[in-house]
Amino acid sequence: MRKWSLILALVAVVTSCKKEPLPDLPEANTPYYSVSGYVDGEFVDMNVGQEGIHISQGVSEMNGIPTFYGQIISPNENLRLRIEFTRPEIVVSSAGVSAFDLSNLGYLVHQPGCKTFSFGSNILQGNFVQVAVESGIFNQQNEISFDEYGKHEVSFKFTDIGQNSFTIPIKYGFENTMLNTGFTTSPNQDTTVFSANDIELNHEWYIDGTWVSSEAEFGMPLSIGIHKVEHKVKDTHENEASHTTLIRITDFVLDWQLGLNPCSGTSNSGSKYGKVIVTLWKDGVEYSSVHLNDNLSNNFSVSNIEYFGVQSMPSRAAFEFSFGTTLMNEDSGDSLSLSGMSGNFNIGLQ
Amino acid sequence: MSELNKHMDDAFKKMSEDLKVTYDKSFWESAKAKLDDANLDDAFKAAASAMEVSPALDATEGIDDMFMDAAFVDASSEASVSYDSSFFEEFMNQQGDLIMDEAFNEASSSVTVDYLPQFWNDADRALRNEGLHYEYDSAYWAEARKLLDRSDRKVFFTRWTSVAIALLLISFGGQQFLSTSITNVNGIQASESHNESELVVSGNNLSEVVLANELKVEDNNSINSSTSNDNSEEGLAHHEMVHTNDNGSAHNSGSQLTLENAQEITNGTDTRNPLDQAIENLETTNETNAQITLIDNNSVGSSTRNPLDNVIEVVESSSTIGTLEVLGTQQTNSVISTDMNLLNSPEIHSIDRNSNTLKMPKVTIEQIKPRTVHSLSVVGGSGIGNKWGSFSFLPTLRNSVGLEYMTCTVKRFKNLELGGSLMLNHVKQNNFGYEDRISVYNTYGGVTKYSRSVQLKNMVYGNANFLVNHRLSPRHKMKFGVGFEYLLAANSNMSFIDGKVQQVTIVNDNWGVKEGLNKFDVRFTVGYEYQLTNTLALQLNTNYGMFDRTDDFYLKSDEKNVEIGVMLGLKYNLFRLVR
Repeated sequence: MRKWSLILALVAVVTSCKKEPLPDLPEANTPYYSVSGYVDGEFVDMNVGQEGIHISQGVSEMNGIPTFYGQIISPNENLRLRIEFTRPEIVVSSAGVSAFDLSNLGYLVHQPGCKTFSFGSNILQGNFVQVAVESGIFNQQNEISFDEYGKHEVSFKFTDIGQNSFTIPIKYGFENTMLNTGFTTSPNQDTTVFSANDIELNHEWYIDGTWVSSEAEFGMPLSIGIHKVEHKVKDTHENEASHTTLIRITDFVLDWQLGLNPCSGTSNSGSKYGKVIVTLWKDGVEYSSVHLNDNLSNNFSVSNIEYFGVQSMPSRAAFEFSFGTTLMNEDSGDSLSLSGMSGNFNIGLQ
Repeated sequence: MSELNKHMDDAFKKMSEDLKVTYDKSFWESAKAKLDDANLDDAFKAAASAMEVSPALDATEGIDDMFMDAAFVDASSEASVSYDSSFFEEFMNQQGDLIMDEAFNEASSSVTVDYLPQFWNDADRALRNEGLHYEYDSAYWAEARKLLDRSDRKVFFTRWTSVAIALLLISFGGQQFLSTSITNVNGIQASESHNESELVVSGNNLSEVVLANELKVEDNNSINSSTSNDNSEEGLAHHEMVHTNDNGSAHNSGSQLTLENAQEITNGTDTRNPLDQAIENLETTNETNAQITLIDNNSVGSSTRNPLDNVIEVVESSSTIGTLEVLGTQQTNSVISTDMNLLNSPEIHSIDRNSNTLKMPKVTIEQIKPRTVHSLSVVGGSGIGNKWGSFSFLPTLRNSVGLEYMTCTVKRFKNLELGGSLMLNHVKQNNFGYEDRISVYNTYGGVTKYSRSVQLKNMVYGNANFLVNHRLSPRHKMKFGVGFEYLLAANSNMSFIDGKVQQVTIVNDNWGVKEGLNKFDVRFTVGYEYQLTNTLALQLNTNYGMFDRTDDFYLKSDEKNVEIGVMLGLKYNLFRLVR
């Protein structure tokens, strides 16, 4: 009996000892996002997750044009690097989502431009037009000058009708070519017929902000005066584009449709969809790639793109990149050279 | 008187049988006449003056009586007293007392007393009164046992020492005997210088003499060939020993047995009584093995003793030294030789090969069979050892406890012990451990940190050793061992951060972590053991491990941490088994 008691006591002692196993550690990995390179000859290595370095991503706008961006922030170095891509005209295709127009990838460098406008067969209308760009001053002019690419809000006054102004967005550098948003108007007695250029798309017509039709072509009588017509199109992948213009109805009959054309002597600068903008903030000073024409010849490569989120419309896109560029502060004219930049980056798509 | 006559008659008969003397009735008549009162005076006178005395001789005690009578004869021959008639008158006056004494003796021997319990009561009472009655105490037996053991040991030691010394003496004596040249026939007095060849048995250490068998003496031929003309009964009864030395003078050497001059024997000029010759010449038949014993000088005592008496005298003992084989013949010349080669000596021409010889006693020694000893002991100790991990001059603690089995080898490797041990070894370490920190980055740009820290404090190893002990002296041993060691348990303090729950968890005195330690090792031991008592020994051991005790993967170090330690301990013997 004593022997068994001793054995039981020994077993109790052994089993009562704490036996916490060594916790397993997951496999370590390297930082997912990082940027390294030379900024004005100084090596910079920013690894997201170390030393307080973090990354953010999302969507933004550049002169009214949606952009996808990502930026790495290093508080210790007071350094912020932003890489921004103008949204491609077609994001979703039968091949899937593509946040990049790899065929058109390059730096977006603002170039001044101008557009002239026409009023159909009404030649005299041009004498009674005043134009103001971005809430600027109304001037009587027949052309509009733009300093930067984008979608600008241009206001029109027609002094022969009244003093009301009519503001419409006018795209500069981002004209739709893949999604044809153009349309024509024609009178049909007291109705105005609207006909889309591309009848394969999905249409939405808004006249003076009111939806009026979803047909590729439709007609409706309109009241006398200036009307703003907006034509939205969507393709089968939900890619969307719109075009807004003005029409005038005189005596209940279509008088003219405002037309915009490049100014004479200027060439089409090409689509700026899917272009990259690199911006660096160093010590609180902004340096951007959009102000130097030299960047037109610099390369920016993107590879190993990985999308995160819903497959139909992912929320983020990670990619490897490498580039070299010169950034300039618009105010001071100081420049900053970025060379040998590479790493892994992440932009937001929503 | 008739009893005496009967006794004497029997004695004569026996003597006649022994001496091969034909009994003649006239012998009795003459004896009878002597016993008459009327002739008693004459008898005494004759006894006083005569050289020859014929006492009553008991066959069983014949030799004793004969020799004793011979002593009286010698005494009487040397000391002569004139007979006075008052001697007889005094004898008659005391006759009654003598008879009464004799009667009391007979009565006492014939009276037997039955024991009655009241005898004990009386005796008990008497003892108590005298203070001689002791209550039994078990301690008395223990003491008595000690005394007995001590006594036994003494007796044993004394006995076998005496045997060994006797054998040595016999061998020396025999060699001495052989070394001296023997020219005489009997081979006894064989030296050229006619020194007596002596079978010397001496030594005060000899205290034990045995006469196992009766020494059978026959000397018919010697008697017959003797030129002695004394064939009378006196002559037959005469047993004076005449010993001669170089000068032929007679002497008695109390401690020496000297044999007769051979020349006298061979030439037949011996004038001794045939009985003397018979007694002197130890002649036995081939079937007789006489055990001749060694003589204790002290027991011999008086120089008037017949040396031959010395040979035959019995002193209380229980040991026999050996057997002296006497090859007896019926030959005339009986010789006592310690070496058969003597018989072959060309100088000894007349020695018969078949004559009696005495060989060296045989001593048989039983070979002690080696016995194996198995012992089981509990061992334990404490000490110091090296610090694992980062280097430090400060040692760390070691402890051990276990069981040790040893067996004593036999025959050639008597000083070696083989065995093994099963041990539990404890190792304590300070500031020994490892720490891991892990960062896991996710695709959102975030990071999750994991960490764990372990401080290993106490390790317990199970150890099995093969041991070899070399006994330098009865108390000192050197110990060599090799064995395997396995990590049984490890005690540690641990803290960790689980990424899921971003807070520190601390677990102290934890027995669940062995990571960071290698489980197996081979361990060498060199030690010294000092036997304090029969069951307790002091040990000093040094241990050395062969393999790295630490896991480089966890410690993130290529440094090799082998076990090195020195321990001082005790070994307590549980039991020993001798087979």
